[in-house]
Amino acid sequence: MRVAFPHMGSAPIALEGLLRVLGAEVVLPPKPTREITELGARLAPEMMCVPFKLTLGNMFRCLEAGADVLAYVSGSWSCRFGYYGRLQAQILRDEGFQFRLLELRHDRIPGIVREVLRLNRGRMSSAVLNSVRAFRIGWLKSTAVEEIESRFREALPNARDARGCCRLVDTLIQEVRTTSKPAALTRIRDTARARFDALPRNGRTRVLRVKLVGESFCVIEPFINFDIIARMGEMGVLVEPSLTSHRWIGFHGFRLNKGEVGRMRRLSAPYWRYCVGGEDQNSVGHLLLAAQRRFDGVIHVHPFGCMPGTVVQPTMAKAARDNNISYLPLSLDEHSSETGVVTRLEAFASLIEKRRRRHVV
Amino acid sequence: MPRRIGICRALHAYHHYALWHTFFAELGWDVVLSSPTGRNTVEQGVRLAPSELCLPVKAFLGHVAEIKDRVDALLLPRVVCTRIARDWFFGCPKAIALPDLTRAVFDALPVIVEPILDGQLKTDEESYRNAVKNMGSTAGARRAYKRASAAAGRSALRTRREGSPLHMFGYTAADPTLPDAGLRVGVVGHPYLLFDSGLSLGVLDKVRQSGARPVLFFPTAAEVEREARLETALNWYYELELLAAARRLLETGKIDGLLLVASFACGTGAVTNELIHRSAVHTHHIPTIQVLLDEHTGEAGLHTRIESFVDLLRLRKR
Repeated sequence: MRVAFPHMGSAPIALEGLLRVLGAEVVLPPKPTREITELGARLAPEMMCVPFKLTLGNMFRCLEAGADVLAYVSGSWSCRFGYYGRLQAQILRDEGFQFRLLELRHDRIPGIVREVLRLNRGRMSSAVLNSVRAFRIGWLKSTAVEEIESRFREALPNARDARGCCRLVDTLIQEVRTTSKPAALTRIRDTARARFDALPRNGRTRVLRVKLVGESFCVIEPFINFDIIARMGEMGVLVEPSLTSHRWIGFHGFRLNKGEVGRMRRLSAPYWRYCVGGEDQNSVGHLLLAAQRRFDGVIHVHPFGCMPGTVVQPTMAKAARDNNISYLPLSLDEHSSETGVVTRLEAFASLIEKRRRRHVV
Repeated sequence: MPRRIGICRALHAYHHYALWHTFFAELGWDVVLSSPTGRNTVEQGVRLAPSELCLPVKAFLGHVAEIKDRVDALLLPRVVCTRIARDWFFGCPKAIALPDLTRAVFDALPVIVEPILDGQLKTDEESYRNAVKNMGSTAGARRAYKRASAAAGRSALRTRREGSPLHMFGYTAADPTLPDAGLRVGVVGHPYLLFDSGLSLGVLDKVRQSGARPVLFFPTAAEVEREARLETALNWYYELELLAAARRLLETGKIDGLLLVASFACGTGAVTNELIHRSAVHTHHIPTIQVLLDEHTGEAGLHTRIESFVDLLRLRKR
């Protein structure tokens, strides 16, 4: 069994660790490139959202590399994300590939358990043992990556050498990727802060803070959002995403953080009553929370044509107006131009900088 | 003095106007229907809405702008989900969020009557009764809903018979005397797009003018349920209707070609039309054309495409 799953941000690191310990062979999805995006866009329906096109191109390459099981988080709800697996499977089969589709959804749990048993040659005891070990490694890797990335976000606006800071985060993530020893993972996680603190600082005293909200894939995947976090970091702006790979796996994979979901629902209730997908309710909630916590601005990203992302836009704008916080909506797809997006980010950064100065003086 | 309730001639009105009209008329309201979609409606909507929204939702906002100052209350349904067979079927995100969207776009609105049609919480009847609870005149809401739902049933039958939901707005059916011989083009699309000639630029008439007969199919509840039980079903209620219609047209409709009409940036349409397209071309070998409409669609361009498609079908048949 050679498993492949769609690429998103740094989620593959933890998932790869988990699946390897579980006994599966993993075909690692390639990092998205222009070429993969174009491949996906050629095969996908034109009006489909860009995460679909990117992951489709990704899965195509995985199948070429010999994967025979494709795993998708899936479900039946209002947003198109729930149908990615089924539709991509049909498109890829029409392209002549043969594989099994593994839908990870709450009503397919017996099937998933059977797969795990099969990996352990039908032995229940070793399946249980391996699952426990696998989830432990997956969780440790995930939390280590989360810690590294959040230290990186904080360090970057203050770093004298932004490149060096980016190099350090790559090194640390590579360390997490290559090790499978719990002790080593814990050590990497616990020393991350010290290693970023050791970087020379640029003496900046005032760091602007921006909340990044919107559709999960666009928030998490640096390829599609033109690495907003690093770019704004270099401009001296600390960008805090509402979702990270780690939190996404917690939210959507294991239904953790129920408390936060409830909190977002309560916060956004005057503006947005139903969660329809695309993190719409969380986006409204996080915008209001950011306003309460005196962030300098909110950036809202969504794929072009994203149904919840589009329909929530006027609400986001109204909530931002009512609560007096700067707001920048960005609609992204395979045709987005890097220059265009970066220009808007620069303009936004200088706008919130001016606004902050006016309020301080 | 009877109070006036405004209903927009857009989106779900093409499904439920008979129900809404009877329900509010029975409760003693004056029902005010917005005018047919015109150039002005679309322009208003385009100005108010974010540019990426689909054309029918933009037009809906245009209808709200037209009607909101003439009425005491405005009907803004929230179509969330309904149960068919053993599963839940949803409205599209834009339908679920319609009241939120409208409130965010307009600063001043009349009182809003918002039935939340969420089968997980309440039955449709309770939702409608709840929606009018705080509006006075709730006595007889139960009876009003009973009559309304009977009217809706009759209206659905008539829609199927005439092949058009426009009778709800007082139009007579298109000329049924067209010869049955000749080319038959199956048409699949949301009624609120196909039958709103301000949005679809009269695409059905264009098929007729090109010398073919448009064939439409409105599935019964049983047919929709059969579709819902399939492994390949999509959990969007209104898409289920389209899938059932397309299946029927492809399997027994004796059609020469299939015309799929959708609006630009229709999210659900991207999935549904892809499935229908693949099944039509790969399984049934029926030529298929997909027309995407938005506020920039030119009538001449649309005409040329339909005409050449019908010409192609004619050549193929010979």
